[in-house]
Amino acid sequence: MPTAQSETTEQKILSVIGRPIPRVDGPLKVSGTAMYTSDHNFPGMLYGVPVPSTIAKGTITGLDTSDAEKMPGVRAVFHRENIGHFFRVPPNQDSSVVIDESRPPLEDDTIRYYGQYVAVAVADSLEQAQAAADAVKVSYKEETPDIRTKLAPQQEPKVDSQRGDAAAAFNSAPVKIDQTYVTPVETHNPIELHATVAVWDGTSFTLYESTQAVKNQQLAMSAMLGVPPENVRVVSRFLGSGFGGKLWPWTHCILAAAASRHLNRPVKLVVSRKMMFQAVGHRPLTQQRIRLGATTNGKLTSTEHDSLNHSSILDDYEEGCSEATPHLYKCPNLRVTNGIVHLNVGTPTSMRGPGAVPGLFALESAMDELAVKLNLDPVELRLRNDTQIDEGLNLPFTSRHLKECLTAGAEKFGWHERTPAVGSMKRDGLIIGWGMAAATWIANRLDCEATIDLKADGSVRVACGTQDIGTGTYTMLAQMVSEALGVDTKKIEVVLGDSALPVGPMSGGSMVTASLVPAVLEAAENAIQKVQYVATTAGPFAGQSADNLVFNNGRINGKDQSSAGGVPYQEVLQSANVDSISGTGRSKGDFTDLLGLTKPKLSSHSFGAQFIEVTWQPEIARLRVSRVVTAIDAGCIINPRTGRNQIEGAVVMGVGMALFEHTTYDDQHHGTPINSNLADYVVTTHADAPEIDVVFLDYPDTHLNAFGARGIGEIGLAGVAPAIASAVYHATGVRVRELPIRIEDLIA
Amino acid sequence: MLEPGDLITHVTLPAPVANSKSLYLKLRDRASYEFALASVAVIVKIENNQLSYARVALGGVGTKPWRSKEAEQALAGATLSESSFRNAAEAVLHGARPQSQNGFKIELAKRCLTHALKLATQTA
Repeated sequence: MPTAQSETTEQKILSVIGRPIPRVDGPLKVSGTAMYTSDHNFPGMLYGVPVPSTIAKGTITGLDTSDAEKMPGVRAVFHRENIGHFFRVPPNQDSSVVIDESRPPLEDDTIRYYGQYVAVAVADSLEQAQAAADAVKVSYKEETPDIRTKLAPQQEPKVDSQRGDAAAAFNSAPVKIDQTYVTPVETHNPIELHATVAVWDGTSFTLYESTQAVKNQQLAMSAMLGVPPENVRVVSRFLGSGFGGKLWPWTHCILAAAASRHLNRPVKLVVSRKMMFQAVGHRPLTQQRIRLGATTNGKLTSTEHDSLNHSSILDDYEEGCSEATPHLYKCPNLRVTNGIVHLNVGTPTSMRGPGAVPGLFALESAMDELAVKLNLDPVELRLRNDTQIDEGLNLPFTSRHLKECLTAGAEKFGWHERTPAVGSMKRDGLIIGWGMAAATWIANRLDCEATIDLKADGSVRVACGTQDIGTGTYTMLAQMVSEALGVDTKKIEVVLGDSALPVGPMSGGSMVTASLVPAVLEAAENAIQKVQYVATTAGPFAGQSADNLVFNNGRINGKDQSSAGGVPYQEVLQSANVDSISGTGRSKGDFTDLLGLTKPKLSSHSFGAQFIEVTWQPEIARLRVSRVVTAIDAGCIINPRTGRNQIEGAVVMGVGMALFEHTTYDDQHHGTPINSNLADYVVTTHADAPEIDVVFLDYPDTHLNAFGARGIGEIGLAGVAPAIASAVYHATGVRVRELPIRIEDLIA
Repeated sequence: MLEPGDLITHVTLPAPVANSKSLYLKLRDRASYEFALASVAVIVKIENNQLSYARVALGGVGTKPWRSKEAEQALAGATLSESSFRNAAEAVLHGARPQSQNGFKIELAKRCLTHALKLATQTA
């Protein structure tokens, strides 16, 4: 059984890790028993509906709530003058408390984005609250908003990595690529709407919140409401996805809590789908210039990646598109910069694969253009520039198998049958296009604490204040504990999603799984030590030394006995009249390395390769993605069933990124996000999802934890959009550099 | 003429044209449900290897479904060939007025109608 301190690379024989068991929370979900935030109802609960601004720039000149206040069932209509004071989250350098939209709601009368909340109506029913919100009369002095889609730097962009002399090397390179790539505003659109159910009891808040970070939410709400953290409890046991949009607090959270405190009643506030496009974040527009210099052999000599993204007027949200560029390839001369352009939009936020995912659209599209220019196979181009050193940090990788992803993916896809000429491949009367791209994503750990209780009824309880955002964390934890103790997963109760629990990692950056392993293994060891000690005080092992005892498969026996003769731990507890014993484990994260706060010794990342086929029917300008092979190097896969689910979902999302998703602002009128519903904001659905083949490579990354497991929520999205764009070029001869790729881009 | 408070209880359609074939083709970016960028409905009758009857309506090109008499005239007695279908499509879209961002619909609608006629007149 692996131990928490183990850093060995020898292959352990694992019995539960690596098994494709169904989700342990599956029965709860399919029976409607799983409680999502807005499923919570309380006696006397009221409903809050915010009033959004109908301009994107200007000031409030009048706000008349008198009619609204008199409507049936209305308890209050809050606005700047009666909501009370909100504090700000203290600015910090270490991400100890994170919030993207720093200005508390209703703080002043200035409007800076369409949909900014100007009031909130609270009533006995949702319908009454909605009617009251609609009856609030707001007058504005409106100014023309700046929601441009062609960005220019507002200040000197910041250099985030450089080595050598990229400009000089580019100038003298025999082969050059110099192109600009654009990814549009995308809105997360998790199926579950953002929601808060705020319960104030006179001294403390219990906040049911759809959040991907219960601890952060607790600290942020405590700071903004001026209440000590121990008087704020945040609960988020089940989420209908977040994709990053539910990581950090938004303005509705505070409004619900304040309303509850004022009225001394629980308040439920569910953000409408339309408002989900306005005030809870989005992936910002990115505009990225890539310059590549190469030899005629396809060896990179220079890489420049200059990115701009938009942010809100007040906040400095940086997408960080160049995050992967310094480490993906071998290239002696490199310079990457990032800049922010402040516009009249809501504050952007992380959306699945922030930074490197849009960044790889640019970089990998440029690499494909380079392959075409060189008349070189695009897979071969990647292989020629592969490296085992992170040249950005000048450190070796913990475990990098991009080469194997490329070759295994190519093999599975049948890439050797490719003919590179545009439009040269056909099948069933359709033109076939093949494209590929390399992928990489963060692989780190965050601080984590977990407790494991062994109980006298024979069950085990593991508790950690992390979240399951639909990724399968409940199941991961059950499998880890089962492996560590040798106890069946059916006997293990997993408790998550509560800030009152031991502090767990936020569900972002694909770090939860890796963070849990060391904490869980240490907690298991401690629980075992403790129960073995109890065994020496009562029952069959009373009087023996704890050093003589071992724990296997839930049973305690003497070192010299066979484990079949062991005593189940619950009998030991019963003999001692003990209800449960608890072991705690803690592990330190290494993510601060990524923030540049500490110096790492090794660079760890996940890698992958995407191979994609599109079909093209020019007679009706019909483009479809027909099949995808995704090869992933993400360490040990704890559960191939949930793991495959993650990759498939990410690929499906990548099809949407390449072909469909685009939030459009009406800059001619009021700066409204105009396609603010699921009919007009188009995402990939079943009919558009291609055949997806996922190949998981088997290279455990035991520098990260004893099982060698990494998080895998985002790597599957990386590289999908550029692979599709390259396939589209292969089929049509049209190189689309601005997403989404649409019919009008391909019609001659 | 509908009055406030009226309730539509049923819609009666005329019987399908005898011996005709009909087809609806809807073009949009997504395979799944989405508003049409261009769509076409055709009803055709073939006699002696020619179109003896054609009715054409387009969607996604105006504020309402667009019945095209020009197409029907161009198709009367037309041979079953891609070029005659394309000619009809050119006739339909002749004089179409694009806005600043939807000019591509003209070509797309032509391809849509051409292809719809081809599918509707296929023998197998």
